[in-house]
Amino acid sequence: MARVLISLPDDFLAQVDAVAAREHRSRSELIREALRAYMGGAEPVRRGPSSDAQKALDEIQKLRRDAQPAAGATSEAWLAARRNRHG
Amino acid sequence: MAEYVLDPAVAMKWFLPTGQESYVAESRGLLDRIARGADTAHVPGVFFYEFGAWLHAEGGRFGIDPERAFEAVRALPLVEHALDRELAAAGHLAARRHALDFYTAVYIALSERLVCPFLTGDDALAAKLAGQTRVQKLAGAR
Repeated sequence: MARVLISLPDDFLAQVDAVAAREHRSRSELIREALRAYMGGAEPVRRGPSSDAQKALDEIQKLRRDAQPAAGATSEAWLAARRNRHG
Repeated sequence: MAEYVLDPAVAMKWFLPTGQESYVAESRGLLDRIARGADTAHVPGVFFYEFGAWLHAEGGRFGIDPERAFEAVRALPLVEHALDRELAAAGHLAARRHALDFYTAVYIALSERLVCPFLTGDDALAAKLAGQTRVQKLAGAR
């Protein structure tokens, strides 16, 4: 990944950093996403605020602990078969 | 920080018992990094349809509650990209160029748009796309 140097007014950079801190993202990631949105396509939706992420992780781990082994297709095989059916 | 487009089959592995299939352990490491915000995982909107379809078709086999599993994945900090006109057009192109079904092609098109790898545990798909596009096998992920 290439690195670029850009100039931003100090007060604007402070705003960028405040948003990045609030969303638990790096400055680079935030600027990259803003540029992508500017250059076309719908703005992506960031699911799950970070405060919910630990709860989500705990829930997934709990569901996994309770899951039972079973015979059958792997996740990749199931997905490939489904996609081939639907094209 | 790693950034990639996530194959829904990887998310399915998050719920599977140890040893159920290949790359389950690797998928858990990935989940942990995504939840901590150490990695950025991008998904097209169709990711949630495919994941939900798997939960309803296969979740019962493992005793997984589809609603709870779906909501947990929705609460992760995944970056969801709508299938807008641009992404759909790129998906059609990728489907023709790589001889893929349209679902898979949309994931590849998104990875090409974002200039980041498509991360998958599907060895056959990775082999098919090797050298043609930015595909990364789960085993090689950090």
